[in-house]
Amino acid sequence: MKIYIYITILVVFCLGSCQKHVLDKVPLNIITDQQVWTDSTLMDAYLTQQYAYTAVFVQDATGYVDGWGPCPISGTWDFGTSEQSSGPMFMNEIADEAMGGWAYFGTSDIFKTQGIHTAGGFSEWWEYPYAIFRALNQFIQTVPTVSPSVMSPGKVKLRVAEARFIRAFNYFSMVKRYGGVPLITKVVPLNGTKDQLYPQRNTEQQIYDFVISEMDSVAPVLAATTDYGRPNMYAALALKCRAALYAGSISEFGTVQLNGLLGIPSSLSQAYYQKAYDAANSIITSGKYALYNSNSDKIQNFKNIFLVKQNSEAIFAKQHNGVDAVQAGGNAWSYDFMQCPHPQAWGAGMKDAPYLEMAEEFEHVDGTPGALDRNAVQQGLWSTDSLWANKDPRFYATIWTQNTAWKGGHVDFHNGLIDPNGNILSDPSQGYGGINAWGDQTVDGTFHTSFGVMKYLDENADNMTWLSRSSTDYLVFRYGEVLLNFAEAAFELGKTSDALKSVNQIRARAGIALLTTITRDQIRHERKVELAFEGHRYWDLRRWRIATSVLNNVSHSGIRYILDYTTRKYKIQILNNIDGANTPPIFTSNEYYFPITLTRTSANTNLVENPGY
Amino acid sequence: MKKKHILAYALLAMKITALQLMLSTCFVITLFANKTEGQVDLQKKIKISFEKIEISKVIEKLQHQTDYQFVYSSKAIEADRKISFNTNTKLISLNDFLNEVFKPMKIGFTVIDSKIILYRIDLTNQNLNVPINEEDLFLPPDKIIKGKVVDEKGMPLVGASVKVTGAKSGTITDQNGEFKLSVKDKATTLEVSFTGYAVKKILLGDELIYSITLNSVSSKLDDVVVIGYGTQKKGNLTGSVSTVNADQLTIAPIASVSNALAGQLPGLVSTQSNGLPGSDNATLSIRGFGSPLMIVDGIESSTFDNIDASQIESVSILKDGEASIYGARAGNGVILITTKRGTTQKPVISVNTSTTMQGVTKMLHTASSGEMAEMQREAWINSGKPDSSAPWTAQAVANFFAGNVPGYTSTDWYNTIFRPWAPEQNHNISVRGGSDKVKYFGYFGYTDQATMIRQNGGDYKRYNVQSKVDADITKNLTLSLDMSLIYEDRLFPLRGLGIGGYSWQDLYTSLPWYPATLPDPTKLSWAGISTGSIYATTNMNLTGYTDQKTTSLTTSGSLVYKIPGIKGLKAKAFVSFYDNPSFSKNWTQPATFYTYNTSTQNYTVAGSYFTNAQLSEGYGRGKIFTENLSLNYDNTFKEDHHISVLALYESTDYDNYSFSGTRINYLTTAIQQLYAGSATSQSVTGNESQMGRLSYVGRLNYSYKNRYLLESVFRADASAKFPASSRWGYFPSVSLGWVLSKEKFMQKFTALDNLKIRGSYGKSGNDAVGNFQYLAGYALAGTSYILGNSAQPQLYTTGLANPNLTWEKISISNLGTDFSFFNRKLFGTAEVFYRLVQGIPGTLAASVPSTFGAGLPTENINSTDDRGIEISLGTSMKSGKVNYEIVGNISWSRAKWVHYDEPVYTDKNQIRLYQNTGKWIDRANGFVANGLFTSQNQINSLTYTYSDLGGNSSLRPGDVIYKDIYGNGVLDWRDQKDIGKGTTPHWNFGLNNTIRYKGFDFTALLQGSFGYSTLVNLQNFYSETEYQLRWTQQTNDPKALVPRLGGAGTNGYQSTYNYKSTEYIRLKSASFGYQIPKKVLEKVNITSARFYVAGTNILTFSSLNKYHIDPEIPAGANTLSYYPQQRSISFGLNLSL
Repeated sequence: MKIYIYITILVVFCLGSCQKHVLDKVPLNIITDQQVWTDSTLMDAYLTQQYAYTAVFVQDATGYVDGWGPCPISGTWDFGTSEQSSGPMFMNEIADEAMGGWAYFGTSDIFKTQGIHTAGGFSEWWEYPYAIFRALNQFIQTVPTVSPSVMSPGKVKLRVAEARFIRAFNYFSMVKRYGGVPLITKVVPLNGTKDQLYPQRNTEQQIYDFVISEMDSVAPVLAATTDYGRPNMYAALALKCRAALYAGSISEFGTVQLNGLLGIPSSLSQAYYQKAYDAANSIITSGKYALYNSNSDKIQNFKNIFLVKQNSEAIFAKQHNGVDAVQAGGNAWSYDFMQCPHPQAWGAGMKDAPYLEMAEEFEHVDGTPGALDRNAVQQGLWSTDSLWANKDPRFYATIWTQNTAWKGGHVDFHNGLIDPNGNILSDPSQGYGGINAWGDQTVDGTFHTSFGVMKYLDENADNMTWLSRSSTDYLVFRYGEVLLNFAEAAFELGKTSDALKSVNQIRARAGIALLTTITRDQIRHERKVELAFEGHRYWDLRRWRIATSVLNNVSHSGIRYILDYTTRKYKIQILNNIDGANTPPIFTSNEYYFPITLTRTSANTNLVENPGY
Repeated sequence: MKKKHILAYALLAMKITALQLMLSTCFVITLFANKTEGQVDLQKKIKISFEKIEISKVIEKLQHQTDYQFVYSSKAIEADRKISFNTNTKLISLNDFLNEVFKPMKIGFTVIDSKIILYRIDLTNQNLNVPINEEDLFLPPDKIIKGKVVDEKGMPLVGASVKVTGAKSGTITDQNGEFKLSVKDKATTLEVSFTGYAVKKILLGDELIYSITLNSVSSKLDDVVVIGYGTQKKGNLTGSVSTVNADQLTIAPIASVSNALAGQLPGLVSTQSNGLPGSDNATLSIRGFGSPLMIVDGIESSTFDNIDASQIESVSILKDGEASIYGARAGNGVILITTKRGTTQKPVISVNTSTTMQGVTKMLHTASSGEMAEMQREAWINSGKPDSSAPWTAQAVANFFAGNVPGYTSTDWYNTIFRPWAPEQNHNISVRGGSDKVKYFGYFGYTDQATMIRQNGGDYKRYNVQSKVDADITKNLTLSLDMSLIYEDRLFPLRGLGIGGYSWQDLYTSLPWYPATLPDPTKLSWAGISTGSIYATTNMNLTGYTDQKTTSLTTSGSLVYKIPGIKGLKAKAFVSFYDNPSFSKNWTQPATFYTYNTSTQNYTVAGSYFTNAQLSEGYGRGKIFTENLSLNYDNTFKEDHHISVLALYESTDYDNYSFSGTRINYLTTAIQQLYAGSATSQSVTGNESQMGRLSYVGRLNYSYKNRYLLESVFRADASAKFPASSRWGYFPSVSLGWVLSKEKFMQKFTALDNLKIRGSYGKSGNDAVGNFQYLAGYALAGTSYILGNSAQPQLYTTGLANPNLTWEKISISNLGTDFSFFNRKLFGTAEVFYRLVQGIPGTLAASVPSTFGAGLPTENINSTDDRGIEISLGTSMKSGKVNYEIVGNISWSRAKWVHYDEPVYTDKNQIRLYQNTGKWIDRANGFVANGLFTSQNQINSLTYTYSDLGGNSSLRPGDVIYKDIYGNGVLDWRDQKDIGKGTTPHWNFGLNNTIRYKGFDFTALLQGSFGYSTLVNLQNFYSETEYQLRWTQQTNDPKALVPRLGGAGTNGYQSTYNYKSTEYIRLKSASFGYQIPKKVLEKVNITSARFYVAGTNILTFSSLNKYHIDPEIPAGANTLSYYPQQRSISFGLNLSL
């Protein structure tokens, strides 16, 4: 009976005591709402996260990766479109700048050759920004209410202004894709009204106006910014300038559709150009920035714009230090790993393969056009020095090709070897006299166009280790763009002398002949060359509404270098239809706007689909 | 539990009950003496005297003195009459007493089967001797028959029941197996039954003496089946429970025991989608539901694949309301694993040893140089790219195929990397035995399963140690102490070999024109892939390894106390501590790769696999502390009413923590320890989590005459996952059974052995819905963003809080029948079920558009229902020396969305294609293909355009023809429809054959599935199969399995072209064994010895064979990137000492 008693005691004891502590559990790794809004460090970290989520800062990358896990916003793996991967290059490949080279992390080629359809899928920026808007709206609503002892009023104002900048940047990124989108500036509660939960699209003009007016409001506050990497007053002006320029050209060249959800009345173009002009002018006249011109070697000088941190041209940048390489995410990016020539750890690189036409776009130093005489170059043998003689220094700083100096050696694209008997040895296993029939710059088994992108490449980067090691900063806004925006706005306003002056500043810094007169095409040409591979070209072609001719049914070319063993010169072959003769690039007029997509319109029937989808 | 003992008691109980049942039907009262055995000696002397007491009291006194059992009918002998007797303390023999005192009262007596039967003698026939039948008490019999009942070996069966068919009572055989029975002339058949033997029906003729042989059957009705928190006799089950016993699990040696269950149980869906050693388990699902709850020896466990099959006594699966006893976790059914315990027997030492060779079932062979070069060139030219820059010239392709042109090498990566047979070892030794007071079981097992990689490809090693002791401390108190330790070591190349492991990508993308090795052996050969070469990445010495060491230690103890004074009441206290420390080590060894040009003999650096060594180590530990206290009451009232009640309290405490660190840059790759890495590169992280659960469980079983069965279960569960206000859930179930075959009106169906109908309804839950969702929170991102001059931390929200989230609510109804005919020549089970799952967590993301902007909280919004049938049929036969049993099962189940949170679609095509509510959950949309274009005319005459191609200009012969089924002139999303048969196998079947002849045994288990579809995409990677099955201009085959290489972007659509109906049958396992005759073994003191050869996945007949892929290929994007299923051949020995 004693044991019976013991058991009874045990039962009573356990029922009484264990019950409580078994169920008395809390998550051990979660910071609560209350903790966040009473701690300025945590509030700063909260805002920092929104910077990080805004992947589009870096050349319209649309993916975010936190560590090697799924992105916390969407819960999906978004590596391919992130900064740590191909994200920043997709914009080059969809335009007429380059074709997709290394395809491991995807290319834009399918959208380029088959168009964008109702399922969308190219460079989508919708779910992420709305998550960012919610977080920022929360921040903008809550931070002004915190006790001054938690965060000083001055800092509150500054942080809120930053939040509004990021919000506007994201809206700009959306409007240039979709046209008008729902403008949401308040946190919508889960039990919100139907209008809040199922919002209609605002007009394209409303979104542009929102971006511009927000920048007007926050620019004075952001004058207090001291941290490099946070937007300052000039970053706000640069965003306003770019947005107003886009609005101006859409107003001028586009048409109003869907009751204004798309397009801006043409009557407003001058007003927008004026805003762009004014914003650019404020930056120019402030004297805070200047074209980078510290190196007498024009080629190295142009390269340095993108390599020298915090140089005179950098208005707003996303900084990288190459430290987060193991986890990726945050400040890690892989630009060098993606774009570099061999040697590269994965035997790859060359993410973008620029077209011959892009190479030809670069003029000669004397201002003569850069186009090759295609018949002539396919005759005889050429040295690369003579083939690419006297090009705009920016050519050498922007593109690498056969014999470009690289890490103490030279890039080697040669595809084929002519032996002393005149036979062309075409297979990689062949060779003659110690020289392989193929150079080492094949990626995915081909040489693509025999061009690669040099801009932003850091020759000191370690490309033999792993992804995400690049430490160069990305220039979201640089002074060169502001000058070109200024030139374009001025030209459209009829102020041609302002335009000429600005373009010539760019050309002078580049080291090529100045212009004496200026045309719209010359401004656009200068923009294509100066801002090549910086993610502008595709959007420019859209807002000028010329993509339907420039990007539609236009076949591009590459080049093949066949090395002559005896002379060490090259026989040149032009590779026509490098995108594939069956599948030339296409761009139909509906593509001036991305589709809202079937998924989104069916989730919210208040969203009107764009025409043509 | 002490299963053998329970079985023995159960058998005894059955014998007694049978007699009681028989006697009670004629209002006969039986008085039992303490001693029920031994001959009745009528000359035994007694001393007795009494004064005016009832005859019944007199009989009580007699019984008390003699210890004999008296059987009589109070009514017949009018036992309430009062009599007196006085012997004046003189001794008198029992015989004399009965003659002297009872005879005058007209009470006769006779001795049958050690019992003294009292009866009325004022009947017409005073010589009546065996008045057991009720009617015979008063009516004369027509004749008396005698007989003897023996078993197959001629041994007398004591206590067998003998009665006239249809009669309420009969007699039982005595110690010699003999019986006497008076029967009416009209009686035609005699029914003889004995527990464990088939009922025998004898046609009565003129003869009076019968010799009856009963055949033993494993009727299984008395088998004890493990159910939640207890056991139940199979015959008394009312829920849907399927079981597998130990011998069925050890047909062939296997490392992961789940594979042994495939095909064995109706309603168990098993898919082995991976063959990686240590991870080659089958994914089990009960009736196609989600992941079932797994309970190993009473404790929740995430797996049981690390237990040796030889350790397991039985596996039960609870498929319906029977699972409700596990409450909030039981909604997908429960798998109960019970390991062996000691038994009362002299120690038996068992040794099992086997060697296994494992090889691939089906896997795509890597392409040769010629094949790959031709495919690359073809794709290049097909897509209209310039011939002059094509990857290969036509001459080069020809050179590769020629095979003898210097410089044009072709590496067969498949055979370079893999060996045809990978070795596996399984050895174990156990000892099992015990006395009345102490029983024990000890086990040690070792498994070593190597990978199919030739060079340093790692292996899986496991050690299993187990000990169990049951000791009776006092008469009423039993102590059990169990300890189980499992140590596993998984050592594999770093790139991963599991599903989606990068090694597979490395394999298929390694280019065959590069050699595996170079003339300079110090240089690694590049093979054109990002990680260098499959040759290097599968070799742990060259590129590093991942090593995971896991210990699973379970210690548990229980005390069972039979509470004195209340018959059948027991109290039990059980505690268990599960500890799961794991250690992982990932070593990355840098490597540099070179290409070599045979013409120029140049080495060129082509790539690298990291430039710095890197080591990451992680420690993790998971602990589960379980305790439960229970009261169990089990008793029989008035012979017919059996009641069993369980009341149980259980609490479970979970705790997990982990810590890991990394250093990069190592002084030397020879020292693979953290300390040797660069301190400046180090990073560490750690995490901890906790959880708790509290439950009350109750169960009531009631059966009346073992004919009408009732079970009712109730569980209350509380989980710390949910807020305090709403964390309790209540899960009841009730089930009823009716054993029809025991009804009188069924007795005329002589072919029927057993027939039971049962039905159940139960509620349960699934609380695997995320922890602490009721708290909104923020967490630190693992990365940083630079603002100013320094990296800043980032804080992200974990989503909106949802205080209302709760477990999925599941209800299941089940109707089943168990039957057996012709002495188990035909037996089986048939069931139908319907299950409704409500409150499946989903986010409103589907119906609230993304503009809302937040990770929406998960809510209990979706619901599905499942329905299905299961049939199991078997036969067992004995014919001479051949014994065989064949058991087959087939099941079908499928689930529909009852409600799926989604936008309210208005477009009829969207409703048709995208609306899930009301549709099968595993359906797939796709286009309807009509073969391949074979001419440009066909394309030109198309009346519709391919929308995604922006027109038909890029279509060419060899591209897939899709039908414009919507008929709007454009091929777009509207032209999809529900195609195929779903993604998961709906029909599953198994067929188990066992044949024994003398010392030989042969077992074969066929298993298969049909009624589903598989997306076959051979274009993920280059392969020999793709080469052979592709469309080419030359063949222009409209049915080629691979469309034009470099073809239209639409060729990859999911369509009837690539979504293939799948069905397969495989010889899942088979064994052929020989038992060495006892005569031989006796000389060497061995009890038994069996040699065998066995195999798994030996043969497969599959609709996917022509694609050279296994039918159990994992679904989804990782198709082809997985360690292929293995077939194995084993040679082994089972030895008992």
